[in-house]
Amino acid sequence: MELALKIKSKFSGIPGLVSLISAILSLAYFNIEYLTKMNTSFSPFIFFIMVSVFSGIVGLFSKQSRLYASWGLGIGIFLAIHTVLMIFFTLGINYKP
Amino acid sequence: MSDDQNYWKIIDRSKKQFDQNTNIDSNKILKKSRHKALTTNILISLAILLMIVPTLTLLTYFYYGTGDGNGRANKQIEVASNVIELTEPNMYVKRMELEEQIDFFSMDLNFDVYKRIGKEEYRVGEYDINYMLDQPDFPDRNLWLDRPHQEIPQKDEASYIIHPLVSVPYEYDREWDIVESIPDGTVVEAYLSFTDSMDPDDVKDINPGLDPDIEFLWLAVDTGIEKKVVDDQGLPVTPIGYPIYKDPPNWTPFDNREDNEVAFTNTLNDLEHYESQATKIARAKTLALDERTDYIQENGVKIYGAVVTGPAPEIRKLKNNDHVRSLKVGEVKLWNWH
Repeated sequence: MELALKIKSKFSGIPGLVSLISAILSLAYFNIEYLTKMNTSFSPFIFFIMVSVFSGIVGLFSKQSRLYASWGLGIGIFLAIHTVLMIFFTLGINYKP
Repeated sequence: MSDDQNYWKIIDRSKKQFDQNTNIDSNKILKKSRHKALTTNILISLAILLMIVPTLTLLTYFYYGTGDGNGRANKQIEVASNVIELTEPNMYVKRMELEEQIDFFSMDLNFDVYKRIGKEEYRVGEYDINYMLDQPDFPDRNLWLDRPHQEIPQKDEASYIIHPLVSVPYEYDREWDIVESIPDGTVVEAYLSFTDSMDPDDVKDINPGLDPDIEFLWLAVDTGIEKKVVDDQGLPVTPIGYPIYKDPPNWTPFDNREDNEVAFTNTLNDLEHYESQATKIARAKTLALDERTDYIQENGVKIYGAVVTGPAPEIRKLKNNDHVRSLKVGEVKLWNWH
């Protein structure tokens, strides 16, 4: 029982950390892509956002990783809204039918 | 003993007690906590730093994508395109080919400009306009014309279309010599000045039954200040007018859905709200839109000149036309009058 609790507490911080690191990676990817005007055919941007949001939700239930999870989830949601708004604005500016 | 020393003494004692009672190394816990705090600080600081670019990008796109009815960027694109159509005779932008590049709170517009000479259109130059928010810088123009207009119009330099009340400079007689010397197998773009201002519908009287066989491409509108040559501040003005498209594209206000005179008046009234931007883009350093719109509202749209195109022999016929006071030759191209 004690061992199970110990294992649980040892790994309960992981989802939050994964969420925050994924969020940071997606932010870093966005920065590099935007500042270098680089366009890659395969963009892991959306994948990182999804990982940060889902692991952020999981991490919120763990006391140990709540801080990381809430940051990761917050950044993930921000980037998801950012992506939707950017698509909306880009399509609206200098619209070509 | 100072408070500080007392504090550390109490902490040490507590740590020893904790170690004895729980059999756990408190230094290890402290080290781990310190390490975790440091990691947290680094990760969160990094996230905040990396959020600067997306936040600024979003704010910039929000700024350009909203406001002014259809978004500020679209409005500035429309203003730039309309200014060229209205102030550059027989010159237009294909808005579908226009490219914009948005950076932090700035925008860069790139587009080509075209002229119709004879039956074909020719790419005659390119514009590059940098905007800081909605304020443009002076455009970087690159025009490939044989007979370009002055980059900045001067007071003592005659306009290419001359108002009936302004005397025609004697050197304009040489323009007819140029028309006489141009080979028959060419098509010509010519700037005509009329003897009187006339209604837009009466312009057809210049070539009834298409004799001479020419096409009108742009009409110069009498806005009251052409006869003064300068505006209230003494800055030289250039002709302003509107294009006539045979097969109008759908992005221009002169798309034949309403009378071109009405479209011209509406476009001029709209440009008045963006006069500072329009003046930066136009070659003339004043557009005096306030004065011009008031004059048009009182006197209506009257035409005092036009840009026409046609085969050289047909343009020559205009010398004996009662409505034509003077002519200035623009661009000349190989025969395409099919």
